Amino acid sequence: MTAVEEAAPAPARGRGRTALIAAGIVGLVVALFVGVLATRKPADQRIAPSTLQGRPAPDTAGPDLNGTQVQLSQFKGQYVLVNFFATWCIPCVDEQPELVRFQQRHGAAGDATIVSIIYQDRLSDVRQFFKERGGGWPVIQNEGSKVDWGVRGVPESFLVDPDGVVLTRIVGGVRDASLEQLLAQAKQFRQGS
Amino acid sequence: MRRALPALALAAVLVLALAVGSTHSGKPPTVTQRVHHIAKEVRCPTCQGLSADESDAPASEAIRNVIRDKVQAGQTDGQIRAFLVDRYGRDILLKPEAKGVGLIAWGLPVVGGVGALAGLVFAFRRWRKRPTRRVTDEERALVAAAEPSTEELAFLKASLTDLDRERAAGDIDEHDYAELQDDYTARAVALLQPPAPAPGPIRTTRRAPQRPQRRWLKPAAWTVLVAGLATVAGLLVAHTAGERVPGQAAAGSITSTGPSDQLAQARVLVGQRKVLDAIKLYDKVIAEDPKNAEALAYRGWLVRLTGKASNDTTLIDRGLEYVNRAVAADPSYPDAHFFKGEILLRDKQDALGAIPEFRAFLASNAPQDMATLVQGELQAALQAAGQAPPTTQP
Repeated sequence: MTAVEEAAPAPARGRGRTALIAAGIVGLVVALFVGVLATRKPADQRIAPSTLQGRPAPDTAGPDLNGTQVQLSQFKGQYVLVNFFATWCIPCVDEQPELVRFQQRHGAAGDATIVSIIYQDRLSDVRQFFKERGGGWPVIQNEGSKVDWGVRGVPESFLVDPDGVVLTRIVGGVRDASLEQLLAQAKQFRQGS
Repeated sequence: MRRALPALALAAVLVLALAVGSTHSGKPPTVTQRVHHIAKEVRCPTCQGLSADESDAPASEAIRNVIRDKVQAGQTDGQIRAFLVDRYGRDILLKPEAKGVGLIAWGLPVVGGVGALAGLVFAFRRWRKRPTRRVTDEERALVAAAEPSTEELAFLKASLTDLDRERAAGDIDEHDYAELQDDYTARAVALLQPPAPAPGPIRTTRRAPQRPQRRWLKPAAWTVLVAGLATVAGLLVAHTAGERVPGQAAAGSITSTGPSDQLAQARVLVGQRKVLDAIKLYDKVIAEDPKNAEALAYRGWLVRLTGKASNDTTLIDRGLEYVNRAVAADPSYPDAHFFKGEILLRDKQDALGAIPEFRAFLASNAPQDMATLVQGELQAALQAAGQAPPTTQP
């Protein structure tokens, strides 16, 4: 470095202030992200978004446990809880009594029903499962349907309205009381609209 | 033109490389190749950091089958991707789409890169063009006639002489020559001229009203700009980020071998129907920590479920044994009590034995939905034991 270059004035003015402003900005950005994340719904939220919400439900069809062809659209006119399940899935085992209670009430009333869709399971296991744990609703075999519904795991359920429109997606095991609440809300909304 | 040659050459190489890279060559891909290609871009819905092509989870297998069906039906890659996005949402794609909000993910690095490049160019130009003014012929004459009275002046005069020599030899172009000559001359003139008067009261008063304005205006503008960008980014994150569901990782795919990660992996394996793999993982945790209540309880429960499925009472007993060990290891772990209660009530028809287990579960701070479920099981146990159902939660 020459003497001339050394003699050149150093632009050191306001360095401390710049650092302070930079730190302030970084702090602001961090605070914003923390705020965004903190206001998100918790991970164990049961009602989850679905791209199918408000759209016609995929018309899933397939043989039931007796080999009879069943199609989802044949249940139009009543609310349908489409339930993806597997016998190897512990939350599915847990939710089964809840589903049975729900079906017992609404099967007789005729306003709502359950349609289960088998998720990667053996037919013999499913038959045994329903024999042991009850549940006389249709159970459809259709492996491709999990993609049609955008299902990520089991159990996952969708409440479909009497017009065949998807209302809600429920991730994880369902509870009878929560289902009743959802159904009541759906009916109320339908009457109001 | 000579100065622009390197940039033009670089641009030509880039364009050529991109053209060669993007040129479709060879035979059209087979159905299997296309399935692999599309599945590689699709996220496995139930695993961590794997594509649907790599994963053997049921959900990924189903996605591959659907892709195959659609490829065979003559759909394009774009149509198939659009279908998957339609059903799962944008986050099913490993790479964001180059449209809508996804465009930001692609565009931001480009904008950032261009901005950084522009900043560098600007900085270099500033450094090179330090003396912005052109010197006059009088000043040139002044410097030429001046005696090298100081070391600095001698250096600058020598530099000017060197510059003329380089120009005569053709080692420097006219533009650089002119700039450097002006630079050296201006610095020499500054040395020859008397020093500027010390800042007095008039100068201070003249500058005072202007400087404070500049001081706060620029940082404030930057702060507002960055805060605005951060707000927009935050809102976009809030708008586009999906909710994490049980079994999904918050981010990343780093495999860890700690007990808590192994337990998390085991839960994912259970969801993928890989019961045996999950049991193996629980065994690993138990080998490291024989009193890990979660591993003991869930290992026992999985064995019990397997026993139930195959009507194997030995397996059910074995499951109960592990669950008992979990209760003994950590009596405050609620899941173990629930599993024990279920096994006693449903498999052993021991309703009396199940009642305290369900009550122990309910005494913990269990989530409301689980508490409701176990309350129902407790009532079933009480009825089976011939006891009146409780009117209040214990």
